[in-house]
Amino acid sequence: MSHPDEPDEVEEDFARPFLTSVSQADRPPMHAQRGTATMPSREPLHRVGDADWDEEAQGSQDGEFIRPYLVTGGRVHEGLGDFSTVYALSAKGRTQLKELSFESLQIAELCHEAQSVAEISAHLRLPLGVVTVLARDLSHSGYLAAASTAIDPASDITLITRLIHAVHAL
Amino acid sequence: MLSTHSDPTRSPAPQGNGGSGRPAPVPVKIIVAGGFGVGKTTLVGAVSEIPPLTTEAAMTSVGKGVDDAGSVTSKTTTTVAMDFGRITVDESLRLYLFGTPGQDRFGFMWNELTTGALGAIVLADSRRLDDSFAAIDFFESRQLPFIVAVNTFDGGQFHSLDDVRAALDVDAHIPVIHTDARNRQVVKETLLTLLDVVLKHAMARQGNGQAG
Repeated sequence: MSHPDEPDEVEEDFARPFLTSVSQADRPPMHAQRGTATMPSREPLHRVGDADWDEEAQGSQDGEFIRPYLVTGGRVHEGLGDFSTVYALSAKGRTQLKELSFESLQIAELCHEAQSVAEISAHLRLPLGVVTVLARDLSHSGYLAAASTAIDPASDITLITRLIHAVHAL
Repeated sequence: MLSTHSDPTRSPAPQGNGGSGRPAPVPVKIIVAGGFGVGKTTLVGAVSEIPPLTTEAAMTSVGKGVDDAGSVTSKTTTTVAMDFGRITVDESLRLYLFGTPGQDRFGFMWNELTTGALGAIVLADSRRLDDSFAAIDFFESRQLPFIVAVNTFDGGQFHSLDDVRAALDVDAHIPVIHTDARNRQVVKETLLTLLDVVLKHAMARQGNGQAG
């Protein structure tokens, strides 16, 4: 039953106020201040939407109000994921960053300097599982490059020796 | 074990610009397991080049009635916090130290946590040694190199290391040492003690590999 007084656009605005406010708020500064924004605000984007839920959700932990599957488009990675995987911006990421939006953009911007999933998660206050899914996507679509992982580091005497020297030198 | 990250899409089509593309450093990790308040974050912070960061993961586990919720056994989602720091070895290698709750009820996450880890430090409070049992059991069963480091609180050493060793019943070849999570030099030595165990482990493995 569609009524003329309820056009679709209005519906969408009502359904996702945080999406529109986020995009309005972020678009200009994200590009304008790249220098200062490599560490995007420690206020995660989803805080914009918190106001809607605060009243019901008070008492649960800070910053966890958004459901992870909203951020990941329904995909869930429960658990720790590949939390020590390190990502850095690829050439494509550096030049085509503005194609990204929301959390993906934040993740990519952080990765101007190589970051582990755990670091991204801590800086953006997103659960590890969410960052695992999004960073993997960004890697598959070429914006981020994953560092290769050490193959069986526990048997790699050269690697262990390098670590010992590094810790000595601390 | 090749990771999924080595899939072909990870090297994007050659592009002219962005010549500064150094390869991202390979990460390796060491686990610091211990009970609440035992000093994991302090220890990590003592040697980390960044202030310790906190991250969270939602973990699904089977509730055993340990928490306030009562004795209902059900699948629940727990949020687990990990504090971590890092040490850059050089451009191509980075060490992460992950502090994680060491108690039994977090055991469901340790498989994931220790995959690919070099080794572990069990940080113990000699007044609450039972917080350490589960982690020790797990690392032993996984044959992950580990040491037991008894944190010194306010200069006090409440029990001798021999007593701690006996109470924890760890193998004779596993170092049980004192540490002071606030003291960078002492924490360095603690890390080196672990890395020495890790190295011996690796050499033993290689020996076996060649023999086989």
